[in-house]
Amino acid sequence: MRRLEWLLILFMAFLPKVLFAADFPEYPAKAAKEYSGAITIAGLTVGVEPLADPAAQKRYFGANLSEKGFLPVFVVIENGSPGESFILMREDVGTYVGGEQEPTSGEVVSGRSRFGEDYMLLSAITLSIGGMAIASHFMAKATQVRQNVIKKELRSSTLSPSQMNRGFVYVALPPDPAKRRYLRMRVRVTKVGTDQPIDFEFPI
Amino acid sequence: MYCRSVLCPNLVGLILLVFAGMRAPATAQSVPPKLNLKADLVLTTAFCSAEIKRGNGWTTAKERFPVGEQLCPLLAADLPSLFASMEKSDKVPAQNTTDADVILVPKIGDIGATMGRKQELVVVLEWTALDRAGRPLWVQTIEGTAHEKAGNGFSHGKHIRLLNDAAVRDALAKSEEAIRSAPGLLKLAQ
Repeated sequence: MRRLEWLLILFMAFLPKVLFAADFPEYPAKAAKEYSGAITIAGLTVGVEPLADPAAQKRYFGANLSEKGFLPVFVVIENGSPGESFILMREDVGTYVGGEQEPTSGEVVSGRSRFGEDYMLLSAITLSIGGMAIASHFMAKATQVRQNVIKKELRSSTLSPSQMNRGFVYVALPPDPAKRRYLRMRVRVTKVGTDQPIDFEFPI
Repeated sequence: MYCRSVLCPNLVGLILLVFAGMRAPATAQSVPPKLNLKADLVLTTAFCSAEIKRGNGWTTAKERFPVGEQLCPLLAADLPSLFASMEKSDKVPAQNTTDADVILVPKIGDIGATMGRKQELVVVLEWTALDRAGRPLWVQTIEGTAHEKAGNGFSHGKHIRLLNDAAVRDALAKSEEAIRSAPGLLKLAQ
């Protein structure tokens, strides 16, 4: 028994944290005007594309985000104006039902694997080295899924002429299915040096 | 015998030249000019204490990534070299109450750390430059990233520190580059 304990301690000391790394493909982007329902105001074109298909979510995010209550919406913004610059603040992209704003961000994925953690505990109690390796894999995968969600998110930026910004906004789906039909996204940008916002609204 | 030949002095001279070249001080690197602006740098308590923690110390190693704690003093020390003058404050000044030309506000958007054989730390840092009246002049999000091996049970803590340091330094370098080339600030500095 004592020998087994020492073996376990040695194994844990030199155990690589995980054996595999996840790989998530980039979401293919098009020019903003190519998205159905794209809107152009003051030379700025905004297109959005909700990614509702669970298989596509699994492919690009490694998780079914709809199951977690989120809808990833791909947003593309292009500044086609000859000389104006615009500012996009991430917090100014919101979703609405009627006049009521819905939360857009929040923790889409926690980066924790409950199954992995429970399995690790069980494996530690039963001194199962193989079990620990499997649990490590699940826990590491969960962190990689979260990292990918962070990297693909739409970010605040200044759009100078001919510049483009794109990324996902993770829309928290209202629990009431009736509300989901009226859900719309508002992308607000501001012309540099002014307080005047320009709003783009889309049903999603 | 060889040194009586014509080649000898030339050879000696060549060797001396090579050594002199090796010992000569490196030519000064071109320092980019400062932006002719008076700036306020806003480092809020929330920003300077931004961090992530994970692990329970039993089935998973306890890990802490004190990004804000490390980034704050580095920004305060390095950013003044980009501007004609810079003041530091812990909150955004009210409209038209500062004499600064530009107010720089960094915000941690997110911090993500993976587990694995090769760990990755990502620091999403959002920069906003406001004018005296509080209007945004320029906004840019940068991503500081670093990779580091996980190590083993004995060396894991050291690798976590190295990972954190590298991501913070990357965020700092990218921030400086972004500020230096920000069209809104360059235009204002003219």
